[in-house]
Amino acid sequence: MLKAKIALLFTLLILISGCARQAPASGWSGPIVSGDTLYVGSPGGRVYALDALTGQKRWETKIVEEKSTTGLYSSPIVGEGLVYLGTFEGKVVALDAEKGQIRWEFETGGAVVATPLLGGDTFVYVTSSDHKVYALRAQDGSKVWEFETGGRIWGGEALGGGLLYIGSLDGRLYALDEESGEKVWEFQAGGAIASTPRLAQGVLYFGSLDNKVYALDADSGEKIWEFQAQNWVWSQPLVSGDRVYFGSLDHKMYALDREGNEVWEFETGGAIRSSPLLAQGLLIFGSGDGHLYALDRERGKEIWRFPQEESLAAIYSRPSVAQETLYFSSYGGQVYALRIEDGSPLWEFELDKEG
Amino acid sequence: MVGQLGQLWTTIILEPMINLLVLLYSLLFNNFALAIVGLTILIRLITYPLTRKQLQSMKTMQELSPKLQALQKKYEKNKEKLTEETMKLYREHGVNPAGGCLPMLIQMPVWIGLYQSIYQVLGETPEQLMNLSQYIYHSVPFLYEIARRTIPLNNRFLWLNLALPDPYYILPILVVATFWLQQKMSAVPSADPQQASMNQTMSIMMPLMFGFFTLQVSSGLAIYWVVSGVLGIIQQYFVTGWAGLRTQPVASGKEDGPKKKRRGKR
Repeated sequence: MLKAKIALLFTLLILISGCARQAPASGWSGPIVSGDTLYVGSPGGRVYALDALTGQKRWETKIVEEKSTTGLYSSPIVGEGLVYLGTFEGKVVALDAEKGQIRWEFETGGAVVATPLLGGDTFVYVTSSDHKVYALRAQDGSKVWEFETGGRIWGGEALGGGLLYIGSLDGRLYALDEESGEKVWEFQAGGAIASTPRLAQGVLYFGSLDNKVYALDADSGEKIWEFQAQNWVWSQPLVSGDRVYFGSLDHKMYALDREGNEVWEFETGGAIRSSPLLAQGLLIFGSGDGHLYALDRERGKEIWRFPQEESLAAIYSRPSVAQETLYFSSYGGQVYALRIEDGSPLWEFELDKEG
Repeated sequence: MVGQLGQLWTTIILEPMINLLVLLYSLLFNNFALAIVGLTILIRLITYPLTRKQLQSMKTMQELSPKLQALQKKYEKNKEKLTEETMKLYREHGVNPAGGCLPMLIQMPVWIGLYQSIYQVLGETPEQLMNLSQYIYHSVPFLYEIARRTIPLNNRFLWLNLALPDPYYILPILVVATFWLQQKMSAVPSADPQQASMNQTMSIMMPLMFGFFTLQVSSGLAIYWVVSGVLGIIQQYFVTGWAGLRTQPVASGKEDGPKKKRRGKR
């Protein structure tokens, strides 16, 4: 009896210690290609530069603390010879695009989840879980202004017409003067905003955790329409021609017309956080079911998926395209290059493998 | 098979609890610590019939203890006869020696579920928040309304970020104290010296181990352990009183106060 009790107790302890670990924070940094180099962040907190043609590593730089177990959420952006991205520990880091040395760092007061945005070659805008958005000088990382919202900011920015747009987990979409950081208007959505907004022809599109996608007049912040999905919309909408495309955590990819009416929807087996992109007439996005999908953009019919059989780890980041090649990374740090037209694999690279 | 079991677990345990937790959060002043306390109380109430059975069976065993010890003395030399007579004694009083275990085994999934749902709802990392989206009942209008207004939940409480360990070590101390007290209350003098010393070791080791876990897990879970421990102590008090505290769990052979065991906690 006593032995049984002890055995039971230890089973319990193992169970508890098993599920009580710190929450996973591997990140979902996606790749970006600039010239012939692909840049991507890893679950181990490293930035990699790979040869986009062959997948050969050019350099890697660890940008988180040595003991850190958090990965990178922010995808890199490249401008003027520098690669920028944020860390979950709260830093914004600029690295030399050629060699990978850290040029400057800027410390925010909370985790940086979103991909930074370049404003011309002068500014880099960064959002942080410390509730703030920062405008930094791109060359040296010095702060120009900051603006505080009422909640953590996990989405990125949209820029246009002298205004910077950001959504906050406080449920509001803010339009700020890009020069001064002064608030011009704000819009209260029905739920927290984790999605990066998209600006297209004077209309701002973004998703919210109230399951809706909103279209606002970018100048005034007046709502033009809203569309309701069946779960949160975290993915950044894509606008092209007469269509608005976005994924939802309800597992579906939606295509709406510019008045907010549904044209088609396509169901996958997992939550879609990945923002779609268009290449060669295909709408391409990743899903939590571990597949990358390429759909006919007009009718939403599947043209190909990768992989055909089996599945990868979840794909949460936005794919990237350069020339005839499509690049994406799956959760856990595997980078793939595929041919756009048929999804046949060209190369793959495992991040954090050596050391 | 494993996948189906996991799905079943999610559907009947995890999802209802997560939605209940979000509902309680909104009812209890958007305070996540209160929501944890509320859900723990609620589940203690729902599982009360089982707990009562378990505690009563334990009490009967305690009451039988003097008779058991007499039997042990009488059949010291004859183990087989001892077992036989012990079982007979149990039968006469309608006690199933494993009966104390069964209600506990039934409750266990509920406690593990509660534990997981707290962990899930805290949503400190983007992955966690995204997972949470898959558990919310989006199609139930009033739950959708609550979820859209409250998520992500505010996980600040007093000095605590409920998703992170307590920086001032107050919760680990509380956890050790409640677990120790509960162990102590349910500890029993055992006729077998080896078992007595095992019991003794357990009653010290277990609180310490949970205290150690508390140093590493989110303080929301630690709050759940403390509240659940305190409620357990109260329930135990109404059945056995403070008796377990007054008696030393050592091999005595004398007939003093309550006997038999019951192990703590989930």
